[in-house]
Amino acid sequence: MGTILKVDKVTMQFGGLRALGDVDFEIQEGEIFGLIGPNGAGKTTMFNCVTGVYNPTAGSVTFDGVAITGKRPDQIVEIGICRTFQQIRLFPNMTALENVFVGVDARHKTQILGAIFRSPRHRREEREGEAKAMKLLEYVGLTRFANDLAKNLSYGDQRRLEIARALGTGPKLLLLDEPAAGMNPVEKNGLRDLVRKIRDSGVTVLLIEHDMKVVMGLSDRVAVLDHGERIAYGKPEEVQKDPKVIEAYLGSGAGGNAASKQSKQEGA
Amino acid sequence: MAAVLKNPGIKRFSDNVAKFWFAMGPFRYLVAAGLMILVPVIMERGYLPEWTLLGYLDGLYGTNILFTTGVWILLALGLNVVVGMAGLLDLGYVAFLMLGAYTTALFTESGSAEQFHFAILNPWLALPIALVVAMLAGVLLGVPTLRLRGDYLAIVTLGFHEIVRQTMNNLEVTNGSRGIFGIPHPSVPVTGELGLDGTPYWQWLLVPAIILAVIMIKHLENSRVGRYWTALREDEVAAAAMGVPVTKMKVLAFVIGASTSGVAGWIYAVKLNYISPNNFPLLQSILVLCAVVIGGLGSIAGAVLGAALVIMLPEIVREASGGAEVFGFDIETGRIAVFGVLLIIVMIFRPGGLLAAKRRRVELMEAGAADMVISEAGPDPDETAAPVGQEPVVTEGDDVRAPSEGGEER
Amino acid sequence: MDCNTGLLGPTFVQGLLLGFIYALIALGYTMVYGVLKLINFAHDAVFMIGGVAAFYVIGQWFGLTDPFTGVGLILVLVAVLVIGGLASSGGAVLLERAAYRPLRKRHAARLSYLISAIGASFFATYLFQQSFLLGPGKRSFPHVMTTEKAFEIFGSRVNNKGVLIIVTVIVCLVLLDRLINQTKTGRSIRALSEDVVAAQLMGVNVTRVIVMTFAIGGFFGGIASALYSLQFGNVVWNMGFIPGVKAFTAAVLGGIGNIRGAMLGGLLLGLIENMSVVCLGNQWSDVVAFVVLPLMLILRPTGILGERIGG
Repeated sequence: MGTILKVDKVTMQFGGLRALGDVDFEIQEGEIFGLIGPNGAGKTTMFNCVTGVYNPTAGSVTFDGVAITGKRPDQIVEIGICRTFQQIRLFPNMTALENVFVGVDARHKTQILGAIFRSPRHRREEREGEAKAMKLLEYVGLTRFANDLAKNLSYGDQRRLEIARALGTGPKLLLLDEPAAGMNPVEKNGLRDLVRKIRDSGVTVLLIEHDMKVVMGLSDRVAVLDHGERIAYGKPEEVQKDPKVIEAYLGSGAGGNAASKQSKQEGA
Repeated sequence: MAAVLKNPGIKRFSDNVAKFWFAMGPFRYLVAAGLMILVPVIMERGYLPEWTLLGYLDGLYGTNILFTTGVWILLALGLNVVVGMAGLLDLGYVAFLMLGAYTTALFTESGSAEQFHFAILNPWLALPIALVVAMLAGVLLGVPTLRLRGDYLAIVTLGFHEIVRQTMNNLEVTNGSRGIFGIPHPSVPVTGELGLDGTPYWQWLLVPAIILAVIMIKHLENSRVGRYWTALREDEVAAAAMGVPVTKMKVLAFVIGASTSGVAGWIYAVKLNYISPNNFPLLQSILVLCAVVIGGLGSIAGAVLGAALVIMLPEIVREASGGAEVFGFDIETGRIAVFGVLLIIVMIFRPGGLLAAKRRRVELMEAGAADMVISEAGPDPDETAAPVGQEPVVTEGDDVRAPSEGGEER
Repeated sequence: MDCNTGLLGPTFVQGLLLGFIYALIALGYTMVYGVLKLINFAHDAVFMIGGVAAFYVIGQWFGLTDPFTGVGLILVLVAVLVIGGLASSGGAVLLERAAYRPLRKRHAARLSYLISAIGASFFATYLFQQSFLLGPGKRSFPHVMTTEKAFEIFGSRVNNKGVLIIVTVIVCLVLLDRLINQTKTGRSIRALSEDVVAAQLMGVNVTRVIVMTFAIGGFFGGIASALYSLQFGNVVWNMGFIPGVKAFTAAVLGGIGNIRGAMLGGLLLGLIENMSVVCLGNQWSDVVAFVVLPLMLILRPTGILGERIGG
């Protein structure tokens, strides 16, 4: 198994604020990699740098041996990276099926003329796309909501729908931004199973998560960010004992919430 | 109006009609074409009774109204793609009609001997050129304005209309404010040159153009392209993250939108023989928007109905009242005052328009507090809880949000 | 390009005066944007109402059509401006009541507000075009002030009307500044611009503040309208359209929602538009104004000073 994503000395500067400074890490193919850190540590910024929302001030991101810094979000999706959002961003007035269909469309080739003249390829893609979208809904357990508008789904189902939509684009690397946020314990258990199932199907997962129980239980390896710096990197059990990590979580007020979760995890 | 449309009996009837209509499959386009040709012929002869309202529009007068209506249906169909489907507010849409019409004039044997021409072609050959010029103008308008959000786009497109109009008004090659005379009529093998009497423009040019435009837009709507447009309208950031090429799709919406009005511009020029900047006041751009909105944003049938209402209704009122004034209101200008009120009423009571598109209906009718954060009552928990897919009022993110176009509200 | 440099001085003065008027109108756009985050597409009609009201009250009711001098002139000018301001202010409040508030109650989508405002603007404008009101032609504004040269600058004359414009606009701006920064209403407006939810929690009556904002923006629009009518000597049903679009452009140019931006944008647009006459001739000035905006927005997507709200 080789390296699928290589983040090399990525720095992101917003005016006078340094959101990320020289962050390095590598993700191996087929693993679940956790990116953790207190609020404001730069995790989502890291996501945005990987997915082309931001162009890093310095450093490079390499995916499967190809430099992807500076590419547009849609190009990055085509290369094989897709993401979900911390604040759910579905297409609220499209049905669940249509939401996933938009993701699936990323692998389709029909252009405007093909659509206007209903080319054979267009017909085939419409047929196969719908089948694939239905299959993905089944995969995340939302088949019965296929024709409901996304905004009418429950919170946990919306999170799952976002994952299905991202999987629709056929990613090799899936970025999940706090997928367990706002879920109840039952939903969280379901989510853990889903993430493992996704990994087992051959998709590498990069996970941002606040819930230590979820992230430490799931991840093969983790990187810890604090104030835009990478302060720890390695196996979850090693990282958890790292004094710098404990200090980052306990030392700052912002990390208090996560730290209490962490101590609960350690107690368990 | 809204109450009438909600009446269960009428609703059942209209549902049944719709069911029957769609059961015909592709044949419905043929049936539509047949009706669209048959009814005007009867109307023109004056055989329709007045209670059909169309009965008021007989003779040459009716033919001319019908022609204008046809041109406007094409315009409304195109603008509906831009505003209704892709969600880009364009207040200068008639600029494309102008460009189509002027291109036609400059590529055919128009004007006096001194009139400038790029080439002198058969009027039919000017059609593809007018189409391409309008579409290129769509690219020209689309590319620089893509990064602008809704309100800014509105003013820039409005400016675009004025830029085009004033340019036509000031340039020597377009004969300035005097306009260009003598644009030739095209001829059809069956009937010879299309003259001014009867409904030839309607049946030979407008009906085919409208049907083709409807088919094109319908096909696009139910395809990857249409889904991408909807996704963009719903949430641009999420769309980009799902692989939607934002720039390309927006430009494409402008281009497809412009295409119908390029054709409309050609038809307009070859029918009237004469065009001048005064034929295209800014007001028209806004009236097309009225047509699309009243008919129903995103709804193809709505665009057709809206255009017909905006053009035909004032004329019917004029004929029915038998004068140029009704209650002291001049028909030509007073109708705009009436449409103004109608726009407000539609936006308040039926924001999806008269024939709301299925998706839009849900989106606009339900209290989606999403875009508007100010409410009459105090903040209630449902509203502050950042509805799905919208930029939340307070970002509880763990990262600094850089000012990016994506972060803006639509 | 052949530039007529002899025109430089006069066009500069002309541009400055027009810029001052644009700036005053732009305040209305910018203030409403500040609290509602919406561009008030009906502000052109609000503007028109001011000039037209002054025309009716001064010219038609009181029949004051002859020039005044001395104190009489000052009184009548104040009357013209105040009538214009109050009428537009009333118009703006009515507009809010009819075209904005019902939509706010229903939590309408953004596009709905724009369209409803366009509807209101159409209604008001074309209502006045009807023959039972202004009618389709220009109507001459009461000639209460003769034009006299006041002083000369850059080799071009500034007449007494120019002085009136400059003085009035500066007074208005000082007033607005005090209003926004030193009164309770101003504080509420600023609070609402910053954060709606927080302002509501702090007990700001949102509806009242929105009405006040429309009223204040309308008032300045009305004064601008009265100045505009005095300067050009007539009123016409669609007089709001061009200045409205220009002021709108100016507000966006300077950075909408930003009061200083509105000032800067107004002056800049007035100058650019008029200075272009020097090289391109009269007929291209509108085109120049409309080209400047997209260019500017491409360079700075939120305008020159950005969308910072408040003083």
